Amino acid sequence: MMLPSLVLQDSGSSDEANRLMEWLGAIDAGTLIRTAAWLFIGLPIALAISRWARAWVAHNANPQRGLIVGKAIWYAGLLAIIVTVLLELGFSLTPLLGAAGVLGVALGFASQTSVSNVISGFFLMGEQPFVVGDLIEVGTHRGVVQSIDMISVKLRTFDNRFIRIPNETLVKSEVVNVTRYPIRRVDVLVGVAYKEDIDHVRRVLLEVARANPLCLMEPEPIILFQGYGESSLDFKFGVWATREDFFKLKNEIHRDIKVAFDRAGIEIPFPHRTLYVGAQTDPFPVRILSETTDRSMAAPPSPVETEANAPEPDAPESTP
Amino acid sequence: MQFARQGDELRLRWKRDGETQPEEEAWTRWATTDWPGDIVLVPALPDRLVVVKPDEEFRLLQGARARLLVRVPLWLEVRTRDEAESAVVQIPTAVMSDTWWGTLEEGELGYWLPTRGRRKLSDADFQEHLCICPLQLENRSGEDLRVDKIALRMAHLSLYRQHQRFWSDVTRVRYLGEDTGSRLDIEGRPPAEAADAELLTEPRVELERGFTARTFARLRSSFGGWR
Repeated sequence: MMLPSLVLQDSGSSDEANRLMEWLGAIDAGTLIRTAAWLFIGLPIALAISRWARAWVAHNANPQRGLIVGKAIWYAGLLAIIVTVLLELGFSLTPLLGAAGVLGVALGFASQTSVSNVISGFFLMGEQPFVVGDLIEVGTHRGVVQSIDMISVKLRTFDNRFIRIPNETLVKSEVVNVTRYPIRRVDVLVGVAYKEDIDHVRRVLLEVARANPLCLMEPEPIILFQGYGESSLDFKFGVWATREDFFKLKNEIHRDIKVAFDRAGIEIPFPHRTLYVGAQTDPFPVRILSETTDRSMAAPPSPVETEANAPEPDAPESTP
Repeated sequence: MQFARQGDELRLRWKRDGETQPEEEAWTRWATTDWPGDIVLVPALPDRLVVVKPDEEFRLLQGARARLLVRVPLWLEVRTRDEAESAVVQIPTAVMSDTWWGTLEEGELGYWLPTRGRRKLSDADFQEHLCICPLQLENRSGEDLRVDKIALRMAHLSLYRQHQRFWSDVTRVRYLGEDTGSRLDIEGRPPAEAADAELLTEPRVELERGFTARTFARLRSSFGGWR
């Protein structure tokens, strides 16, 4: 029951219709049953096996490998069933494969970007810079990896948006895997007033780290003196936490520092600014009025007088 | 600790000395089935490894042996007094800071416990919320051993009670060298001074014979380059 001419031979339309009818008539009930069995039993079985393999590998290795293995089994099963069904129906695969080759070349030219993404996908799967479940940063995007597919990687952001990033982009750009390692450091920039004792500040910060149970005692917290700031002595205070506790500790440690500094009387200064209008004019003369003088003035109280509105000390009294 | 029953619901709240807790947040609730209304309190060992840090530098010369007695805060396991005797919650009697045992790339989360590293105990050292963990250390390497930190693997230890005193098994640690690690053996019985102690809880994980692990941290450089 070989009918290759159905695919390749260029005959008249009436001839083809006749041949089709002839071919359909030649299919016996057994062939139909076997074909239906492959389609309606084989496909669900292949799907079930791929799902089971995906879950098993995900459990014993990691979800990403599970995903790859599951898809590989599904596509292999699908291909095998299609080939089997075609053979069952009497098709010769040789001309089909030839046609597929020609079609492949045409599709290849038409889908260079997709092919590039597929190849990049293989690189990503081989290199494994991240796996499903990791929190990654790509450019301005930040999210948890939901799946690593042949063409793209899907992320879910913290505000629950879906981001699809083509594999080629990931291979070309810088990717930060935030959750690769089990512990992370929370860095806090702390500024204290110039009058403060640096050793005292260090002791208070270490006590802050010691008092918070989420803060890991090893690796030890770090306190680095960063320099003399515009209006403060600047420190970098780094404490370690497990990646699960990272955000919780990040929230808590700022509060703990403020509470500890207030209790220890350590001032956290704000920037001081002095305005000066330039070299061409004299600085604003500022005179602080005493409370008594202030009260005695009939005009609305104004603690500061400027040259513009203050009476000149030696000016004669105004005359009509 | 306070507990209350409301229908089939168990409510618990607890507060350690010196802790402040808002009243409205203090209760925790569990739904139960066929619970007669009583609870059982069972002492338990911490659920993770405990990293012990001697307050003073402690060294073992080549071939030397030493016995250290470490006091580890116990946990209190609350169970329902019914047929299943389900464990409801485990509450630490003292909050210990977390610490990391391993490298920056991999390791194990544990509790941090500064210790005086007692060699002998007086009566005042025994407290009802503390378990004494005897450690038998032996330096079999060709170099002096500076004991900076010791990892106590609590999951392998049993808990014993001798009147109002709590003991764990004796842990034997033989340090073989920087590369080889340490060989751990759990004796499976309380120390000689508590020979009459009764077994309260068995180890959660049985230790294989000749288990070798990193038990000592000698150098801070194990975290080298982390700044």
